[in-house]
Amino acid sequence: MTRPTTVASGPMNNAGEIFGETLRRGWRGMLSWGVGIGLLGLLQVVILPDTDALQQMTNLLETMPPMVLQMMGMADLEYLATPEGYIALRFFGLTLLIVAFYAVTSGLNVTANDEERGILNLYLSLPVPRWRLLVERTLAYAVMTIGVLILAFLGLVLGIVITPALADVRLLRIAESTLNMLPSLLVALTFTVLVAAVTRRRGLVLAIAAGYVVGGYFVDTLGAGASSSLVSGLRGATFYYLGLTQTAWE
Amino acid sequence: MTLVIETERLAKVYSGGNQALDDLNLAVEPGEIFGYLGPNGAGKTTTIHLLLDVIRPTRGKASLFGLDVRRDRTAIHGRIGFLPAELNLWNSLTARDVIDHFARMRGGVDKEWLRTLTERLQFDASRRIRSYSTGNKRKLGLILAMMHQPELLILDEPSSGLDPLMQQTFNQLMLEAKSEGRTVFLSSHVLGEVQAICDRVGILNAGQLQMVSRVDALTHAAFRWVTVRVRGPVSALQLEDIPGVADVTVADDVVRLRLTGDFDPLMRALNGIYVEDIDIERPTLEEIFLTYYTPSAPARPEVQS
Repeated sequence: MTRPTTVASGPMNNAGEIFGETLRRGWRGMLSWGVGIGLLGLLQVVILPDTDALQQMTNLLETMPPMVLQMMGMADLEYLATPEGYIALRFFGLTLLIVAFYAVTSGLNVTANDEERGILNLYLSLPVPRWRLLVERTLAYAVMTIGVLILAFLGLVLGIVITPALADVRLLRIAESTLNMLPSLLVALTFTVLVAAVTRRRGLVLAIAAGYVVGGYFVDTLGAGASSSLVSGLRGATFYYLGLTQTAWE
Repeated sequence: MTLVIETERLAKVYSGGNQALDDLNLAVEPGEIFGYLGPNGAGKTTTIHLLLDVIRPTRGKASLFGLDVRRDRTAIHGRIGFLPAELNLWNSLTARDVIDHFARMRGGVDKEWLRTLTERLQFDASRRIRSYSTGNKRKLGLILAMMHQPELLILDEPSSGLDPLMQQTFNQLMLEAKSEGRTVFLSSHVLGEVQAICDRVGILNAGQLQMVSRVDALTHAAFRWVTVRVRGPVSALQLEDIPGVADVTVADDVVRLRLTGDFDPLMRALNGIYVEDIDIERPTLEEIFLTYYTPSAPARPEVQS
């Protein structure tokens, strides 16, 4: 055995290593989620009903009680009769919820999962401040969340390009709508990371974060077409300002 | 001389009121191999987690190399290697991935030493973590703890799962580390390992440090098992009253007893009886430890704490 090697152990020693390692471990998951959501968008666009069918669906929806329509986020039925409205409802509404769960599971991966599996104790014995672990891993998962959105966007764009009925849909607006989801997703990710750092119990973190996302989604969807001050107030308290269920077309 | 490990009235009470550690005063000197012993739930792992600043104490303080474990956490962790009692890592990665990542995190790892260490432990780093046996995971944990040749090794049950050959290699690695001036703090249930490599031991029970002693002092100061073969029957009652004698059993012409202290009272009691044979056994380390672990155990050996 040779003599001990002097090791630099400052707080920024090997900066970026945790970020890079998190990307190396997480890119396959990102690819799976992104390709899956992209395929979902592709299929939804390819089977898009024609204009007459959309109008028939709108007529059918008009027979439903307004409260039910509001709960389903279908307050503007005229808008739904357009291809853009259909994409906004079927793809972006659902995609946002799915990618939000990707953000929550990513948030769990920052510390909660490693803590549950007993990995974190060993990791915390390395000469790295805890804040760097949180920051670098959160940044890596934020990058991978963007990656998921990009893949989802590409799937949707591919579907639009190969569907003649959607020739008028502007791809820039699709890109804006996709980008518009990002702040909400980053909030979901960061919220999960912070809850995990405080509670340190995976089950509890999952319950709180999932409740936050589903609750926020539900309240925002309900509030999108509501006029009562109670629902508007709830909406304001959750995701309204971050536009959880909003797309650029709204 | 700066102590490598020092705790002052260190205590930890978990939520629910479970007192895991109570007023622990511990001092580990540079260059020694210190065995930290105790039954399950005694507080060994809690102590280690407090030293690593993985959990925070309820009261008291701990320092490594004279540095506060909380305030100087990052600087301290650059000088230590840690092996947890149960090694869990990301199952989808290969051992090589994990070793490389930890090496980059630590920086300054001597690749030649890393290769030597891997070879001596006969470890194949090319497989995925999920495919390793308990023993192989132990080897990987040792590599991760030792690859940067730290000044202090903190090892929680290091040799559990190692086969006898690897146990010997492990002992050799520890003795080499000691000869180079490094310090080893290990918790263990393997008493042979403790006896073979440790300079001193601390015995912990129910969160309280029962004693600290040199291993050789512990075995020499302890009781002995004495077996006396005599010609003719012997009344056990005659021997029970002798100072230092306990646990007397009689089978025909053989008497077996536990003797603490001098032989003279026993020899005087046997005066006039024809003694065919006397056999004296020193207790195993396990028997000594049991006297500290068991509340109803007979008198403990007199050693300097």
